[in-house]
Amino acid sequence: MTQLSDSGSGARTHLDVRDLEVSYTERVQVLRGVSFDVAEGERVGVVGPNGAGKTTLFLALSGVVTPATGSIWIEGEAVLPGTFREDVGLVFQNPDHQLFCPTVEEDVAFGPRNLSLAPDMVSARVAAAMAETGVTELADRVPHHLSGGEKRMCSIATVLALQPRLMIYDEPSASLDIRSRRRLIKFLLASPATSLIASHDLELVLEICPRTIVVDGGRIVADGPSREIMDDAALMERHGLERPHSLVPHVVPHHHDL
Amino acid sequence: MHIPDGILPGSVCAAGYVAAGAATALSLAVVRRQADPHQVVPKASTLTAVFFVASWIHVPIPPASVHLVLNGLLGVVLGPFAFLAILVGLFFQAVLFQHGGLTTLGVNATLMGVPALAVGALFGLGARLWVRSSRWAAVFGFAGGSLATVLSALGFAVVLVATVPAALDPSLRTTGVTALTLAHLPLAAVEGVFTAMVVLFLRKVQPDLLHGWRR
Amino acid sequence: MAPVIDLDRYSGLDSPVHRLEPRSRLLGFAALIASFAVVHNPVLLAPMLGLAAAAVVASHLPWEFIVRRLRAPMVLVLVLGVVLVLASGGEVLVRLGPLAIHADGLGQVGVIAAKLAAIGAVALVLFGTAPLPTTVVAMRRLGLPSLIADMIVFSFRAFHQIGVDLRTMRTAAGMRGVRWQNRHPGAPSRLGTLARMVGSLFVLSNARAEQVHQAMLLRGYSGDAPLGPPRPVGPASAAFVVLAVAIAVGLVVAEWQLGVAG
Repeated sequence: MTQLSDSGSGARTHLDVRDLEVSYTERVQVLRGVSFDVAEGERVGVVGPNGAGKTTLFLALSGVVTPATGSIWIEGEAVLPGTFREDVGLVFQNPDHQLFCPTVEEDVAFGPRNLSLAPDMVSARVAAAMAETGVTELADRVPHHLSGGEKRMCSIATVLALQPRLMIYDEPSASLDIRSRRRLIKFLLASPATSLIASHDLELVLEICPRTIVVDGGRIVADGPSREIMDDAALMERHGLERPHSLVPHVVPHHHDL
Repeated sequence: MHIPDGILPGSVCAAGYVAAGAATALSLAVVRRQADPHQVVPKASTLTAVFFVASWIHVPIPPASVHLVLNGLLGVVLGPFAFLAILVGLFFQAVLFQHGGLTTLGVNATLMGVPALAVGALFGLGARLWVRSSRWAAVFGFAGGSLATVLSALGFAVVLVATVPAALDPSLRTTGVTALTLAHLPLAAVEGVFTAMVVLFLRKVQPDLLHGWRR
Repeated sequence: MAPVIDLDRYSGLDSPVHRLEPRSRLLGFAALIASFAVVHNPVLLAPMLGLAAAAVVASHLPWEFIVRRLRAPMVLVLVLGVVLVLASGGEVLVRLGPLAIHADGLGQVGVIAAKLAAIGAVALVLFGTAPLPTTVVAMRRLGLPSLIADMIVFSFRAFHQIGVDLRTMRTAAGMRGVRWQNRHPGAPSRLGTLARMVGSLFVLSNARAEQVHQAMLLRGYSGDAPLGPPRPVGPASAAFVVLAVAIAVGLVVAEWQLGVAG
């Protein structure tokens, strides 16, 4: 398996997906012929309408869902279908699905403890993950009592504690207030991990991800530099999206008088 | 611990419905005395749904793997509403999954629901103790979970052994009851531990979900 | 882990049973089921099974649907049957080493299995030929307290979401290293993890329920939602109720007479 990257940056290929096809029993094909690769440390936005197959793709990358055909390689190792992989960190859309311990600290420690790491290693990882996400002061709080933004950062911390090689974020900015969203963006910009970020928040993707993949109807319909892709109004509209406001040239007055 | 259709004589089924009817009427009366019972319906219904979904969880107790019953847990969380929740939960299990019978709904509801009410009442009475101390909360939780299971198992054993094998030697009946009840002790222990864990969790996270909680 | 809820799958078919007025359907089949619970004499097993089969045929429900759903309780009953067959008294049919198969036991297993099949099949006909909320409304009109009717409807709606929540939580936990089958030594206890998930489900669902309740209050709900006018009972439905109740009474009387005579 060649380690050369197709991304053109000379960095090692981190994630390589070839001809991935996934079907569930009720529907015919949720993902078809999906192929792409991601270099180490790259941040890639994944956009597309609801039902396009983004979540299914993420579950396949995590080993949760078994593909019908195709292959997934992470750092040269194949993802075996049907086995959960702790080296892929998936941050779910709803943090309530990932937070269930009585304190934040226990929740962040849960992952490392399941790997049977020594207690001092567990503490070290917990401290590091909480520091990176800025939730150290929340360590003794009850996750269920936290605000949306705090929950979001805590759920990211619980995943980071496993030190995954690949981070995947499913709608990370959904329901966040402005301040929390900004904090999330700062975190993502500082994070060195290879990341896939699915979001309807196109401005966020534009700000954080140099590269964007557009998924529609189970296929990748575009893959390239974010600005180029999102500036293509026809392409965006064809796939249930639209050009982010910041890319619309402020030449012709287009703000409606409310 | 759900008795399927076909096993019990019609008279026992009828008696079960009478007993369940009485317990239902009693529960409704207690619930209606609260300010607005319909306030509690969404909460009780959701918790019924959680009980129903959670009862699909398999716990391996060698040599088999069993479903948790969780009637003790319902008792400590819902108090007087527990019987109604169990009745509705059992109705769904019978109708949606053919787990437990329709003709035996009355019997099953009584045997599972009455211990739940008893456990809930005891839990409520002990509130002063477990509100202050997590150790007491664990004790009450364990006692509630395991006691509800033991009482239900005992009830089921008595009903089954008394009504089913018509030609069974009477001396074997006591052995039968004892054996069936003892066979449920491992499950009772697991339910006790599980209930204690959930009680401790709720006490920390949202204690007003526990029956009898007051500041 | 979670079984699929597909009871409503055939509730939209068009059959004589589907076309019955809901209260009549409920009363008639409930009477039959109650009478099946009383049946014990082997002579009545054939008519009982015949009636159940007739109900299934009239409902157009696929036999595969009925058989699949009755498989699990049948297995349970057969396990019990093994105990009965070996342990009950009476005439011994066959000896297998130290074990003896008793005729009485065999007879009892047959009766139990037949009753389970008949009751189960008719119950599926009753509940599978209309959406559950329709049947619950019929139950309410026939006297079910509205509090319980509301609980049934709300719980039914909540299952799907809560099932999704639990499944997602378990997936998320699996991705954080939980091995439900072979636990790593030193990893947190699985029972403890489950307990916290169930506790979290209680907390989450309760919060959601309060929101739903508020939304309902804003739309005028005050408990005891008024039911619209009931569907009129047509001649077919009336005839069905009369016939079903008559058959049910007949079965009970026959059982009693046979019991007295035998």
